[in-house]
Amino acid sequence: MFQQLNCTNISSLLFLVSLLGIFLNQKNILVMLMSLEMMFLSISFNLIFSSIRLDDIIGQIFSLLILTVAAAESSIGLAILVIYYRIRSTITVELMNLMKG
Amino acid sequence: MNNFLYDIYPILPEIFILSNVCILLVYGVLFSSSIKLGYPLLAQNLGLLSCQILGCSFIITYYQTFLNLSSWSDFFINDIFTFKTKCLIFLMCLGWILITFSYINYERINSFEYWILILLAIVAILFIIQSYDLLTMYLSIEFQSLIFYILASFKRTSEFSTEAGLKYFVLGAFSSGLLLFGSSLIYGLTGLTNFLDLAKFFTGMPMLELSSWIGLTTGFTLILVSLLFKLSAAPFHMWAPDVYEGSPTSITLFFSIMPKLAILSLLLKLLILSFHDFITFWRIIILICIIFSIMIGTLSAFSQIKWKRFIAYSSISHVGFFLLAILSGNLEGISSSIFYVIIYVITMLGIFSFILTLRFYNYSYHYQTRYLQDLISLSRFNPALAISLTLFLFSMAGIPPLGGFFAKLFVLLSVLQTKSFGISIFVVLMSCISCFYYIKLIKSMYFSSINEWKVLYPINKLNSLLLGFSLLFISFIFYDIELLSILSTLMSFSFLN
Amino acid sequence: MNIDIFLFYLFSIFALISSLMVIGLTNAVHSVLFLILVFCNVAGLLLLLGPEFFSFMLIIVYVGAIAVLFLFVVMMLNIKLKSTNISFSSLWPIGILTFVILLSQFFSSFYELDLVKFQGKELFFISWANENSNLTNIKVIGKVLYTHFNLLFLICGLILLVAMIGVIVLTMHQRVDVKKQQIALQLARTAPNVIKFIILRRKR
Repeated sequence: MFQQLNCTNISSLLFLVSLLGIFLNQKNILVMLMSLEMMFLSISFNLIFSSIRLDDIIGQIFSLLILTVAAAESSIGLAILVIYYRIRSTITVELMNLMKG
Repeated sequence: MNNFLYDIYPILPEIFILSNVCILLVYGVLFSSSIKLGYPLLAQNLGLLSCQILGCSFIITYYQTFLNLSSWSDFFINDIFTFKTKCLIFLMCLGWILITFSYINYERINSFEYWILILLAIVAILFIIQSYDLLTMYLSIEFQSLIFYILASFKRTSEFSTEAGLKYFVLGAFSSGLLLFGSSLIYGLTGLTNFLDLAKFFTGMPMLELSSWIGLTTGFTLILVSLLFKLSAAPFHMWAPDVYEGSPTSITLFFSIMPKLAILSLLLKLLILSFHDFITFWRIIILICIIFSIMIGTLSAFSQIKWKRFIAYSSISHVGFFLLAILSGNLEGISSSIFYVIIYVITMLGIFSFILTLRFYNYSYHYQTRYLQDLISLSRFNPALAISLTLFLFSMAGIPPLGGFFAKLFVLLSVLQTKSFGISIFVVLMSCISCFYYIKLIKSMYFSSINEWKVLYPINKLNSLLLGFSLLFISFIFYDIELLSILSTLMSFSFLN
Repeated sequence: MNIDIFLFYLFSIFALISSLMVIGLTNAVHSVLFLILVFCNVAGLLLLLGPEFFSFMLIIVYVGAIAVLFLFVVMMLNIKLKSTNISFSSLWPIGILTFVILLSQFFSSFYELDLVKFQGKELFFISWANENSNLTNIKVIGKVLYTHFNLLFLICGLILLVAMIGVIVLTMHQRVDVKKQQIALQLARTAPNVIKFIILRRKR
């Protein structure tokens, strides 16, 4: 059905948009973490698509693992964010310059 | 059933550690929350227990019969390299515990989960060393780095520590995203994930059609970039100084010694085994990384005033050296790279045991040194410490009879054999420049005028033991250099293909 | 027009637009809501491709767990909305690079898009008897995950253990600066214990 439609384009576009979100974001870290989630989503979409195209199961297993790891990672990231907010009471990226060299 | 036993046997030490982690977790939770015992602090107790666990697992690994096989349906490899590296990792971690044990007491890191996370990190590093597939590579790297994010922000009341954890988290998650995207591209184009299968697929491969060539090289570059990022090689080094500075000192030492050997082994597997047919392509990337990391590591270390940032930059330049050894891509290069890593780890253990022992006593409290200027005229009030630091700095600079000289010599010899003269001249010049700031520190220790006499807190036994051991090792390695070079050559044999 | 291809384009365009909204909006709550929209659209795309288990899994995990976690944190942190001006000076090389890659991707995707093929010329028949005997997605994964890939399953368990320990270590602490109601203390209070008379100035 989707022989002629290239899903890789969609997933790489999503990946690039989330890359843009990480680099161009200057306001808060939450949006950065959200773009990380989008990045993992685009990668797992790409893997599932290629597993269907190749008729192979490894890609789907890979995306299942990514799903697990992304959940663990976002929970740890938000925990670190919460303790950072408790001390500094701000989560602005611009103010993260305690250490400069 | 037989097959299953072959799967279990090579990872016996990991299974031992993991079962102990479960027991320690239950023990810690039950005892630290018991009202009857008055909420006891278990950090010290668990530290000693984990020391014992690591010792036992070293014994298990050492007495295992060596098997050369790929287990768990080709997700893990077991060869002479992984076998020896496991022993080395256990020894390194034992040394690390002995050094930082007093630091934990002084800084009151009281939660017992610290040691459990350390044990899990060791398991993760062992998994990275054995991984033989893109899937296990991703999972074990992620396992390791999740633990590292937690450890970096472990002092949750300190602004520096939490900020370091947050920075490390954002940049580390970004780099693992790159790793994933690269492996998804490679999987999509070849349908393979196993390293050996990829190597078979690429051997003698004629130039493919352009589109899939571009896809494969892009995916490979992304994987390489993220591994170099984890190794803190230069264009991707921006996290290293901040994270090293912010995290607690014991964790800084852990970051600077433990993951290097593991990530390097992964890099060797990818570059030498799977993607060896792309050698003309990856050589350029590695060469750029070498030039940048040696240059940035050397030149930025000049302007540092804090110990940890100084060490971070000097470790960046050392990373440049072990990449330089891989550049030749032959057996000698690999063995000299492993040799360099071992010498580097021992030097780091020595330097950090110096930093952790240098505590100034100001009545009613004592604090650890943070700035490089604390060294001024150290030779007056503690000549023994001063001379040990001098020897370590000379070894890092590469002054002949010490260990660091031989490490640099072997790397340069292996590079010169492939007739790459330009990069070797550059490296020699840069290490001359780096000599300058090591000697500047020594000058401030010996030849500067004293303003006020400081009182040093007495050194505890474990630190002095490790300091003396690493000092002896670094200074008398020339007596029998084959002690290490045989080991590193033996380890490099497993990359023979 | 083939309905599948129409749906494919609809979902992908919606996913891309809402992903742009996620990174572009100033309000974090709106960003989370658009993130949920991205997840739902990608789940729809996956449903079109075939692996139905993954598409529902994506909704359950991403929308049900992660997005709710984000919303929870957004509400908990109570961030003041301040629109700060973005300094493009330090970031423009990366931005331009990314934009160029994006643009080339767009062009290549439009190049491959052939409008002639939009119409479904070849009708094909599905034999439902054969379809019935096919293995479903979830069955295949269940057969493979616990046998051939069991190591990965175990490592996943370890990762989740680490996440649990880490979150507990980092965020749980007994706060002393917050005043809590302690009923036992309140009940034990009696007037003679509480009120105290002090002689401030001794009379002569």
